[in-house]
Amino acid sequence: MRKIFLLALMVWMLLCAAIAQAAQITDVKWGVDKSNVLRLVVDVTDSAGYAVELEGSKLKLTVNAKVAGQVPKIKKIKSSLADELRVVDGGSFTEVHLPLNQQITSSDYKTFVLKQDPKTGRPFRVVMDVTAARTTAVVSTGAPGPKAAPVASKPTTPAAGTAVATSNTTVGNRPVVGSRPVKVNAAEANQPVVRSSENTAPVVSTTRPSSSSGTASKAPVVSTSQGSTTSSGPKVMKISPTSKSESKANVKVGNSATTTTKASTKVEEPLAIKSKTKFRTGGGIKGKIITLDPGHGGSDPGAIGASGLKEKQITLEISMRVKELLEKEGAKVYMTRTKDVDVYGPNASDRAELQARVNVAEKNGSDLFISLHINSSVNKSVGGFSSYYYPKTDNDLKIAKAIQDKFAKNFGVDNLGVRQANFYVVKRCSMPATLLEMCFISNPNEEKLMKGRWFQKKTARLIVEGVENYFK
Amino acid sequence: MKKLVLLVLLLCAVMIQGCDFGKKEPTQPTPPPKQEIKQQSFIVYRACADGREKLLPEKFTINDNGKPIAENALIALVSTKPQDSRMEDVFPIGTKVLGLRVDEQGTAYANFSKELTKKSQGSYGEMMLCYAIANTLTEFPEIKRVQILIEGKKVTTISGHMDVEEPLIRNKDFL
Repeated sequence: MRKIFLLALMVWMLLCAAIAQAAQITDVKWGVDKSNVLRLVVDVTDSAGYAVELEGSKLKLTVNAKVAGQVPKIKKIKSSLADELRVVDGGSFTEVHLPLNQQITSSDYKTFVLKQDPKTGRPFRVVMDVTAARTTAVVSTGAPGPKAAPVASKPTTPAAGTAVATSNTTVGNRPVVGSRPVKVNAAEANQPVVRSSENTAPVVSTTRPSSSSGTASKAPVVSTSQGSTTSSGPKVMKISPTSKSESKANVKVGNSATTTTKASTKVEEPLAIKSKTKFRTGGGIKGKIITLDPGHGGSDPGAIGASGLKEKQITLEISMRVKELLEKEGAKVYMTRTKDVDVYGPNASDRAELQARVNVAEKNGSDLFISLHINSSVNKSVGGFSSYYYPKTDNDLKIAKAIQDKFAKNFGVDNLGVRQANFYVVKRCSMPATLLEMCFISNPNEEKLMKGRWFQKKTARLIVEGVENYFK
Repeated sequence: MKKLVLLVLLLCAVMIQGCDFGKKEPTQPTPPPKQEIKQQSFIVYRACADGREKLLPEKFTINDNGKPIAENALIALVSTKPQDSRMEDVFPIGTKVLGLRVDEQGTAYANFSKELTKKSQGSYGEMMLCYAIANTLTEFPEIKRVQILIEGKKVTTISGHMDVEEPLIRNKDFL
């Protein structure tokens, strides 16, 4: 009797196990949105773990679920990125292969899951968005040194040799799979597994030899892409050392196991340059190197007044006057822009644009950086001058105060004072810097005022007097 | 023999139940038990209308809608107008809160729609907007710092001045 009971129990347990394994892929869909982002959606009956790998120009999404019979093995895709997707049955797991028409990097795709929605009847979904590779932008400021994209890809080191992507894949802080390991076959096991979670940039697992850190360490990222290989030995991504004088963007990434790998590191944005010379703070204005940054410009108008007056116009006009006066005093003046243009390039990322401005100052070994802006507020009656600084050196407050004091004493407009702020350009440049907000374009009186030559001349003169006091 | 038959029957019953369980679970989760309508109270910080670098608190009490209280506070901040004329709404029209996630270290990831990034805005408005978000969320003890995300991604700046690549901490000077 007991034996029968045990048998029955075993049968029941087996049955339960079979049910638990039954997470099944019921459909693989794709879509392309307006901005040409290709989205793959894998419908799964139950929550399932996943992993993404970029093999050369093929994206491989592994989902820890069986594929149902009705799912087609090949689907045509109408996208510039890929022509088809393939569903490969791997037994207990399923791979969705996406052969791409162009080389992309780890920052060009992201994967996340969507929970099943009882209201709409949608199942659990694994979603992968692939964006077209961004073309390497041209640095108009001529930033020397290797450039790097500031993408938040954190290299993590997989366990050497036996790095099998086991364990529960965690998605968005939630453990998705109970105790079922993500099965990865031997060939894949040694490849970096890319995992990403909701709201975070994809994390690329690569081993970076420390020997390369000398040149690569300052680069916020190196998004690596890798050619496929049949090597079964442990693979280590090596970034070949590049000389500092190399100013080209592409840092070659070699592969220790094969020589056929077509790997490159794409970098799109200017690397933060650090000034080599130490800034000077005293001994008079003569011979000092000063970088002026007329706020906004080109595709970015800055704040706009009721009459249509744009911040970028006024900041440039005043900056040109400041330049002239500073040069009269014997200073060497550099401008981040002298025309109505974007400093980095039209439609560049905000980071590229702001860093390009900082780089002008760094490149020229400036002693001082002044960013000129016009303020704006929802409240039209607000007005006045303010000088902002970020307390990174002892002299940031000093320059802000030197200029603000001049404004306060010589203008009938409100003195909003010296203020500390977390502004990019004054925070990220190495030399003392201030960001001036010269009245409010949103205030009709001040808007009228700032258009006039009198205001512009006077403001420029006061800035120069402030700078003179600073260098005294 | 009778016992055996009974056992087999029992086994069958269990099997059927097991199958049902397996099929039903993913499609029909049990609805959450109905609760009495609870209320949530929180404070949102609004920009001061007179142009000073100050944030003024506005108290909210809403019916519990199942969302975390911090997310409700953020939604209230972004999508409602201040009731007091001394306060200003600095959020661009159409801005939506796409989500709020708080990690164990106390960093809140506040995800907004792209409307939040508005180019034509002065540094004053941008700064007030950033710290209205940061100070409203850091009002909750579990939140220490706030990382602003636009459509799930980190951005460098909102309107070209503020550096929001790194999480913002509470700005006590504005209170």
